Amino acid sequence: MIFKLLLVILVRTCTDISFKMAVYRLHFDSVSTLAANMKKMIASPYLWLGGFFGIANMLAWSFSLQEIDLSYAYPFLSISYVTIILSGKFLFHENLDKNKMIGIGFISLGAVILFLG
Amino acid sequence: MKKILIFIMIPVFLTTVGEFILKFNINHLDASPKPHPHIQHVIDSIPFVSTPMSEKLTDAMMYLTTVAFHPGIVLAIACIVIGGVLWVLAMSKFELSFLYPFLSINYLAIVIGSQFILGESVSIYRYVSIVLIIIGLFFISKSPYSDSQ
Repeated sequence: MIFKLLLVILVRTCTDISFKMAVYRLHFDSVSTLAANMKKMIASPYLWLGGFFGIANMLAWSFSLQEIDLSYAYPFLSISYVTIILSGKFLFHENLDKNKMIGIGFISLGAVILFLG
Repeated sequence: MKKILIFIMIPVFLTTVGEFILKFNINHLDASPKPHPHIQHVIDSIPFVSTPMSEKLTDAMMYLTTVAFHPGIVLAIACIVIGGVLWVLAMSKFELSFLYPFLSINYLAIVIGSQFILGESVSIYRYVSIVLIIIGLFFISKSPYSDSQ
């Protein structure tokens, strides 16, 4: 039962990584380059991969809700904050500062208590 | 200010209500819908596929088609997806540290609603765990959203 939720977390993390890859190093803040960047984004296979993972995420999520309480599954999915922040650090070299580390710690502790309780 | 609150509360409301509708409809799904005899016949005729394996395959296929065409589940997923898109719009407009308390409403509303609307037995551990998650989100929201900030 826990494996279904871990699968949802994996797929959700893959969704966010794919969407980030699709817009990585693109800038949408200046009007002159907006159209070119939009074209790049739509042409990126990662955007479509992200959409695929997004659909798979909803299917896996509804699949796990078949046998798991919503009040258990929904907080458990907060582990995806941990996996997404860590993938930001290792894949996109994002800054992992003290606040994020403390936040990850509290969320992990919450998930452990949920799991043991 | 009132407009801003409505702008932020709509995605929070949509995702929370969407999750309730989803769980409610899944709870009331037919436990083991049988596949159409023709589909079962085709799957049974595939060679080298053991019976339990083909049963699992039909179960999965049945489940996918049931979910994809169930109006309540489609409505629920639409609420969750639209809520998610509106939330991303809110994130592009406001700082995460301002949005953080609204994110916590999601967790509180879903756990409290699961207990009193869906009738789940919610132990004290689940409440303790969402308090810890909310504290964790508070710290994450204080972190700058970009290195270039």
